[in-house]
Amino acid sequence: MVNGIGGGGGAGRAAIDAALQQMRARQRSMGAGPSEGGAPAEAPSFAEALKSGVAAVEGRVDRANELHLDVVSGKLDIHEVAAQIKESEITFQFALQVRNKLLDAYREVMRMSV
Amino acid sequence: MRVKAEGSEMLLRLMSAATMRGDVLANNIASQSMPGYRRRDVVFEETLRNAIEKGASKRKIEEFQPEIAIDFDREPRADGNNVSPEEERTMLRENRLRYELYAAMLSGRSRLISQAINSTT
Amino acid sequence: MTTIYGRRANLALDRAFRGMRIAATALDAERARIDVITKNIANARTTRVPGSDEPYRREEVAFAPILERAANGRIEFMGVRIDGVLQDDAPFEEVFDPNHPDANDRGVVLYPNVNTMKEMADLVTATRAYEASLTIQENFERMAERALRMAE
Repeated sequence: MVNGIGGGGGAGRAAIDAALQQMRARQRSMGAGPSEGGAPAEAPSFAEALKSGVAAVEGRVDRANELHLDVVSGKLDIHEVAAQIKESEITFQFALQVRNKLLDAYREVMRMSV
Repeated sequence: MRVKAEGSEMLLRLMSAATMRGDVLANNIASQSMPGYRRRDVVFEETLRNAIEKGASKRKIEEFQPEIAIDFDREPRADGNNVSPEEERTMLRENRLRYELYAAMLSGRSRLISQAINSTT
Repeated sequence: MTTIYGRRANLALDRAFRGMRIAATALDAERARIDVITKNIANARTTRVPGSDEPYRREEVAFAPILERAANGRIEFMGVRIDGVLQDDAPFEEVFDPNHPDANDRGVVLYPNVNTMKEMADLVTATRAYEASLTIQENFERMAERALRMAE
């Protein structure tokens, strides 16, 4: 079994959750003030959007896992199969890029230590 | 997010079945004039499909293997031989495409796996 | 070794290879039609069929669609098949020829109800249909390969 996205072996969502938690903690420790009202309200919606994006990707990979069974049981024609292969690849690439960007941002925030 | 190993194994098995079938069909064509000869085929995808439709568990499905079977259903000619070279050739064409289809799916999975392995930040 | 049941054993991947399979049934059906037409032409002058008192009677094939239930429950067209070989009950051709060995007591010889010109025209039609199905198969193969190439 291969882990596509995730830090120390966790599933995609869990690792992203952990990263977001640490970022929020960091933000709070760097001082409240004006960000108290604004930042916490923004962070959850970003996290939600990201989580639902990851869920969609996981759904795609799950379907890719079952592709051969769908073909054998007569559910897909040959062009649908080809399209699904390509789509899985693109979705996966996209998710990898998002993860990389997120980790970059996370490290950036970590670097801003006192 | 996991690309499961069982899927790749099944695809490999499907490819083996297609290779086996190519040989069996070629043998049928070679035996088209042999009196009493009944054609053979490789049965695998049909077994899987029946199992899926009956709702068999994933584990059960993963245990199936390709099998060589004799076709006693097809009407033989007067000499007892039931090979139609034209039908065998048609099946050979489809079989070749099946092989390509399985190979494409397998290489698609391999790409996902290698992307995951090679992705570093 | 187990037993299988001819074409029934090939239902799997019916959607994946549907175009190809439909063309394959058309090939079989047109081939059968060509065989029957050829038989008619060969027997156009057969005044007595061995084992009977009658001349050869023209035959023709009846086509029927193949309908199967797909995975999604809907009935789908899956090609054509020969529904039977019928005998043409048009009357035999009467020719006055008292010296012919098969002449009846009125001196009339009965000839098969085969119109060779019409049979030749039908042969051309059937051959074209056969070749068209072959082309469809080849096209399907090429398109499928293209699709799989693009997925790489």
